Order: sequence, then C-alpha cells, then structure tokens
Amino acid sequence: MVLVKAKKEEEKQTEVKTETNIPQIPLPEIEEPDKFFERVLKPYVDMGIINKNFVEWEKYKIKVENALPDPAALQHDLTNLDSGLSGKKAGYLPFIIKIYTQELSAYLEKLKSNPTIAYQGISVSQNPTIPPPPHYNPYLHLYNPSYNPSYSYPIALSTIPSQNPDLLPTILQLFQKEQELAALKKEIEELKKGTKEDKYAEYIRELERERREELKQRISELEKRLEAGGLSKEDIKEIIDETFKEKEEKVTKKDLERVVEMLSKKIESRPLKSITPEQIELEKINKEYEFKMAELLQKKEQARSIADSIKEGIGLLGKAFIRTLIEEGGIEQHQAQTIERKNLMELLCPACKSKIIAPIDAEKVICPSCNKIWKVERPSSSQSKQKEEEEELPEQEEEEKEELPKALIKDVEGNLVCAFCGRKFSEKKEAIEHLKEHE
Amino acid sequence: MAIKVKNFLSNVLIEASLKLGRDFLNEKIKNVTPDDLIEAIKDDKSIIIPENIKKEGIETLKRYSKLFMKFYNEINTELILTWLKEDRPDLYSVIINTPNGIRWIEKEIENIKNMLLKEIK
Repeated sequence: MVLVKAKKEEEKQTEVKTETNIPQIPLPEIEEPDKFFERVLKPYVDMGIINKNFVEWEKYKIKVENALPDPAALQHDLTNLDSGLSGKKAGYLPFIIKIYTQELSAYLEKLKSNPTIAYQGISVSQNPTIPPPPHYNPYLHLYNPSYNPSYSYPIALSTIPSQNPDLLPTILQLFQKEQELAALKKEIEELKKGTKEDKYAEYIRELERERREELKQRISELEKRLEAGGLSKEDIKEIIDETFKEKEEKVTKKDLERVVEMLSKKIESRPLKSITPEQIELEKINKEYEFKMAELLQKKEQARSIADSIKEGIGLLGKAFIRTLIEEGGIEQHQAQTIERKNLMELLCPACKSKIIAPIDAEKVICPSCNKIWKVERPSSSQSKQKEEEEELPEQEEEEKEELPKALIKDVEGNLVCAFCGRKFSEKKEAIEHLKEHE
Repeated sequence: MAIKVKNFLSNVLIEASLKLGRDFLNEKIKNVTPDDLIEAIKDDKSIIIPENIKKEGIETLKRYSKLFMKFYNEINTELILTWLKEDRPDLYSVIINTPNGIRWIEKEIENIKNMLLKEIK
C-alpha cells in the first residue's frame, strides 16, 4: 500500500513537473508529428488566421520527409506560401513562431524520453534558403548527446530591437506598410516617367517586328518557289480530291484551311528555279538589245537637242555666207566667209585674215589691219530667192522627221524601226498603226 | 640743261596724263558693242561719253586743270583712233567702215573737248 502511495506521489510530482515546464498548453502524452503540428496550429486555423490548406500541406510534407519544420523553416513557409498570413495578419507571425518553438522543444523532449515510440527517428527539417543563426539550431540535438533541454532557445525574431513582444506585431505591421508604400511610390514614378509602359510597348513592337520579318521571309520563299513554275492544275485538283474524298457534308473553314496548308506544302516541296545556259544566253541577248535601243534613243535625243539649239542660236550668232570680195582696182576674186547679224557683218580679210566689222549693207569694206579696200559682191535677188528655197527644203525634211513618234527611229537604210520590238517598216503609216498595238 | 629736264618732265607728265586718259576711255567704252556704235553713228548720237561720265571727268579735270591744258592739244581724232585700233579693233573697224564714221568721231571728240574746256574755265 505504501509502495502504491509512493508511486502515486511520484506520478503526481512528474505531472506537476511537466505542467511547470510548459504551462500554457497541456501537451498530450505522445502524438504523431503531423498531429502535433496540426494541434499547434489549430487555434490559428480556427481563428481564421492561417489557412487550413496550408496546415494540410505542411502535414503532408512532414509525413513525406519524416521531419518537422524548425521555427525558421515554418516562418519561411508561413511568409512565402499561401498561409493566409499576409497583410495585417503578418503581425501574428512572431507570436505563432514563439509558441511553435516552445511546443516543438517540449515535443522533442518527450520523444527522447520514450524510446519505444515508432516515430522516434523523426528529425527537424531546416529551411535551406534561410540559414539559421549560429546560436539558433537547437533541434539537431537528436543526434547530439550533449543536448541540454533546459536551455531556452531564442526565437527567430529575437533580433528585433524591441524586447516587448506585444510591440512586435505593430512594428512588423508598420514595416510592411512602409514597404508597400515604397513599392507604390516606385510604381507611380515608373508610370510617370513612362518607363514601365515603354518597356511593354517596346517588347510588343519587337515581337511585331520579328513576326513581320518571319512573314516576309516566308512570303519571299514562297514567291521564289512559285517563280519556279508554281502548281499545275492537276496538282491542285489532286489535293482537293484527296481532301474531299470522303466528305459528304458541307465544306467547312477547317477543310479549306487544310487545302491551303497542303497547297503551301506542295509549293514548298518544289525545287527552286533553275536557269539553263540557253536561258542565260537569251537573257544576255535581250539585255544587249535593250541597251542598244536605249543608246540609239539617247543619241536621237542628243541630235534633236543640238538641232534645236542651233536653230535658236542662229538668231544670236548670225547666218554664215560665203561672199565674194574684189580688191579695189583689182580683178581677182576672193571668197570670204561672212557672218551677218542684225546690223553688221563680220568677215575675214582675204589678205591678212583680220576681222572686218562693217554695217550689213556696206558695199566696200576697209581692213582695219592692212587698210586694204574690198568690194563686197552680193548675189542678185533671184539667186538669193533660190538659195532661200534650197535652204528651206532641209528644214521641211526636219519637220517631217520631227513629226515621227518618239518610239520610231530611222535606220541607215531609211526604214522606220519600232523602239519597243525592233520591227522594221518601210512606210510611216504602217509603223504608226503598229505603235497603236503597243499602246 | 635745266630746260631739257623741264621739257622731259613735262613730256613725262603729258605721257602719263595721256595714259590715264586712254585707260579712262577704255574703261568707259568697255560695254559698247559694234551694233551700238553703228546705231549711234547712223542716228548721230553720243554713246561713248554719257552724262555721268562727263560729270566725273569734269571733277577730275578741274583738279588737274593746268595739266589738262597742256595735253589738250595733243588729243585729236587720230590719237583716239590709234588707241581704238589697238585697244578696240572691232569699234575701230566699225568707225572706218561706216559712212560718216570718221566725221562722227571727230565731232564727238571736239564736242567733249569744248565742253570740258568750258567747264574748266
């Protein structure tokens, strides 16, 4: 009986001890790690602070990895995953982590004291992305015999300057608001500068440009292949027959698209245009012919422009004649080139070749250089008329020439040649009618 | 000896003046064409020395009136024709080949000389 009493007293003492170790939440005897996790976070789920899905996910992770998350890892997950602790709710985070740290410490201690439990080998997983501070990694003690469970480990947010835990949520809240404000300011500045919009617009433009280039390349390729002869009627018929062989319903857009696709494939499969030596030779001859025709036309234009300028210039330069000069008192006749202008005539002295300028109607001229006097012989009126008529004749011919259309050229034999095709004509009418065909 | 030097100097001065006169004439007739000259001779008009040239010449001559009086007699039709023959053979040819050409130039020179003399006096 005494023994039983003593045992009871011992049990009571151990109970009191455990109560003093973790005073806030009474721990169950030993539960599974995922259940432990669920139990710790359940109050926050019930209060709507943490999402239920998040807890489920963490439970699943614990089962798969056979490891409980350390406080830092949990803090990381709570902030980075869809835990529900965003915005103002983030203020609860330090408190939750603090409680979790305490609970985890107690849970691990319990596990150590009971070697019979199947899930004794459970470890504490660390967050690989956030290395814990050197003084803060207490749960690797499972494999460390020098582990001291009475040591109170600081929580992750112990680095915050304020020692008052009640102020932490407020500080965090303020900090988060500040960050949000800074982000908003940045966004406003970007929008004001137009950099944000420009970036998107530039990106879209670049994409458009690339697309256009691709299309151009594709079109040019297809054009090249079409130059090679394109598709014959038979090819097209074959494709259409093949597409609508088993088709009894109405033709849909998809069917047509398929036909187009097949046609383009067929065109693509054709070889590029190949040029034979004969074709090259023919091309050469054609080019030479075109060049010669162009040259002839140019020459014709030049001759025309020269003739026009001469005609216009005669008025200014004067008309040239050959006049007979007889020295005063002599019989010998001399031919002298004479240029007659408005009021005067210019002639060269037959003796000294000096220029004599005299009024146009002068019958006698004196050379200013050698002082010889020359009698100027003029043709009679009938002779001059004949000469004038003779002079007019070539002008008429020129007029006839001018009447010819530009596309007609006279060759050496006097035939008219078409500038477009090179065909020769003996008669002007025929040539003009032929030109109408070209028009 | 002194007289010789004086004569020499006076000749030099006259020569220099004549040279100036020749250049002056050439400058003033540089734009005259044979056509213009023929018309001027036919219509008996003064073309070589227009009104503005007269004024300029008078201003210069008034300043060098003594010198002008010295080479006044040296300027005659022959001298002017000699200058023209050398400097403007086209105009010279027109003058000698146009009826009344020589008479026109003589008259022109006399008129100018008289006019200038009147102005100086």
